[in-house]
Amino acid sequence: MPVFSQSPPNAKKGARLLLPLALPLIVIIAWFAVCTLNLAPEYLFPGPAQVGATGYNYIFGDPVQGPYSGRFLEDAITSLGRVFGGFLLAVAVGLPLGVLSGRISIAQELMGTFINALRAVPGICWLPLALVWFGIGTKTTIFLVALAAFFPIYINSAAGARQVNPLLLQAGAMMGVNRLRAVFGILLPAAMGHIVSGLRLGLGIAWAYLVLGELTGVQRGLGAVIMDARMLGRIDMIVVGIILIAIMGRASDRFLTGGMRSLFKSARRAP
Amino acid sequence: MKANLKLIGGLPRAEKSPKVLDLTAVSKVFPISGGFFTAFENLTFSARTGEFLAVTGPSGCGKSTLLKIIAGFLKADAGKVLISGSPVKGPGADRCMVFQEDALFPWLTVEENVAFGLFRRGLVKKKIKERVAHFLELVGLAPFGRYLPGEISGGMRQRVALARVLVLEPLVLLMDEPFASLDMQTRQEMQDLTVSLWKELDQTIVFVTHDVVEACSLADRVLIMKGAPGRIQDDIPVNLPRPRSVDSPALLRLKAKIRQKLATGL
Repeated sequence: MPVFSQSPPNAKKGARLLLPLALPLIVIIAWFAVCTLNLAPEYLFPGPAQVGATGYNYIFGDPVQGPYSGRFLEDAITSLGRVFGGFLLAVAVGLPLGVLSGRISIAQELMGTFINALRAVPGICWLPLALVWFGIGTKTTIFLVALAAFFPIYINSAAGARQVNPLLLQAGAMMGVNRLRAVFGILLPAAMGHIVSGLRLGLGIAWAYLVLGELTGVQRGLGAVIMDARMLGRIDMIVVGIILIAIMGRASDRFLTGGMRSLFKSARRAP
Repeated sequence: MKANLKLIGGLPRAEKSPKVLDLTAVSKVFPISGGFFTAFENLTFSARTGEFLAVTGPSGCGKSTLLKIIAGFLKADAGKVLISGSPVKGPGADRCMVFQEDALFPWLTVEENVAFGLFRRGLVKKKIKERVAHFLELVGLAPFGRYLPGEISGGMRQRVALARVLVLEPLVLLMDEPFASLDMQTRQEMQDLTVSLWKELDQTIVFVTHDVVEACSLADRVLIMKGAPGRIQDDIPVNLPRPRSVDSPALLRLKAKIRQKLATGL
C-alpha cells in the first residue's frame, strides 16, 4: 500500500513558516538593546532605526536628495547582471566538464590535477591579474565570479555523475536507449541532487566574489556602494548594503532551486 | 493464435518450438589480483520459445554472471551466445532483465517508468499510454500509475520492474533473483504473478535463483550449476501440473533430489 507522509496540522504549519524569521528577530532585538544601552558609539554602530531610514532612502528615495538616494534598483540590476553572467559562464563550463570527468576516467586523469591545483589558489589572488587583463569594471567582476563559481559546480557535478547507480544505466541500455538519451534521460537526472548542490554553492560563492570584484572602484553595484560608504564614513550605508546582499543572495538561492524544480522532474521529485 | 501452443497438464508446452536462446561452449574468466578466476567454462544449453527455465546453484557458481552475459552487460571470453540465431553484441531490448535490486528511475512515476523504453519506438503518445495502462493492469498496479517508486512497497516496485520490460515484448525475459529481497508472502504473490504472466504472454523466461523450491515451483526445466569453475551439472525437466503447491509430495521429492545432487555432485 502507498505510504503517505503525515503532514502537520495547519496551525502548526503556520508556526513553522514563521520559524526562519525567529533568528533575524532575535538579532534585531539584541541590536536595539545594544544601541539603547549605549554600549557602542553611534558612528561605529548605528542603530536599527537609522539603518532602516537609510535603507528606505536608498531603495525608495528621490535621486536628488543625497548620494545614495534611490540608487538601489540600478545597483541591484548591475550586480545581478554580474552575478548571473559569471554564474552562467561557470555552469556552461563546469557542468559538462564535471560530468565528463565523473564518468570518463581519462577525462578525470587529464583535468583532475590541473583543476584541483587551480582550486588551491585563493580567488582573491586572481584580482591583480584580472585588473591588468580586463581593467576595472564588469569584465573583471564577471571573470572573478565565474572562476570562483566554477569549482563547486565542477566538483559536485563530477561527484554526482560518478555516484550514479550503474544499475540505472544498465537498465537503460537493456531498454535500448541510445547514448544521448542515456545522458539526458538517466545520467543527469540521477545526478541531479549533486548538481543542484553544486549550483547552489556556486551561486553563493558568486555573490561573495561579486563584492570582491566591485570593491575595486567601479561606479555601480552593491559592492561599490559598500566601498564608497566606507570612504564617506557612512557605516549605516555599509550595514544596509550587507543586509541587502544577504536578502538578494537568499532570494537568488530560492529562485535557483525553484527554477530547477519547475524545469526538471528529477529536481522536483528527489528521493 | 498463441493458445494452440499451450498444452494442458504437466507437459512442457515448449517441446517443439524453435530455440530462441542458444549457448554453445560459453566461458567467462575474470582477471583478479595475481591471476584469473574462471566464473564458468564450457556452458552449453538452449531455451525454446515460451519455455520457463530456472537456473539454480550455490552462490559463486556463476549463475548471475551467466545472465549478465546473455543480457550483454558482460562479454563471453569463449563460445557463442545466440538470440533467435543472431549473436549477442551488447545490451538490447530483445533481452530484458529484472534485477534483484531496485533499478527503477526514482524521479519518474510508475507510468513514466513503464513508458521509458517505448519512447524511441516511434509510437504515438496515445498508443504508448494504452500499452502502459494495459501492462500496469496485467501486473495489478492499474491504480498506482501516478505514484513515485519511493511511495510504493518493494513488492510493488518489482511489479513495475516486470511491467517496464514486458511492455517491450522481449524475446527472452531474464530474472536475476528478482524476489530474493521480498518477504515470504509477497514473494509467493510475485511467483504466482510471474507464472500467470508467462502463460498469458507466452514469454520465454530464464530465472536465476539459489532457492531450489522456487526453481521447482516455477520452471519447466531446472538447470543445476555447480561452482567453481561453474558448470552445468544437471538439466532436470519438471513435469508437474500447474498450479503447483510447494508442499505437494512430487515437488518435495524433486526438491530432495536436486538438493542431493547439489550436495554430492552426483
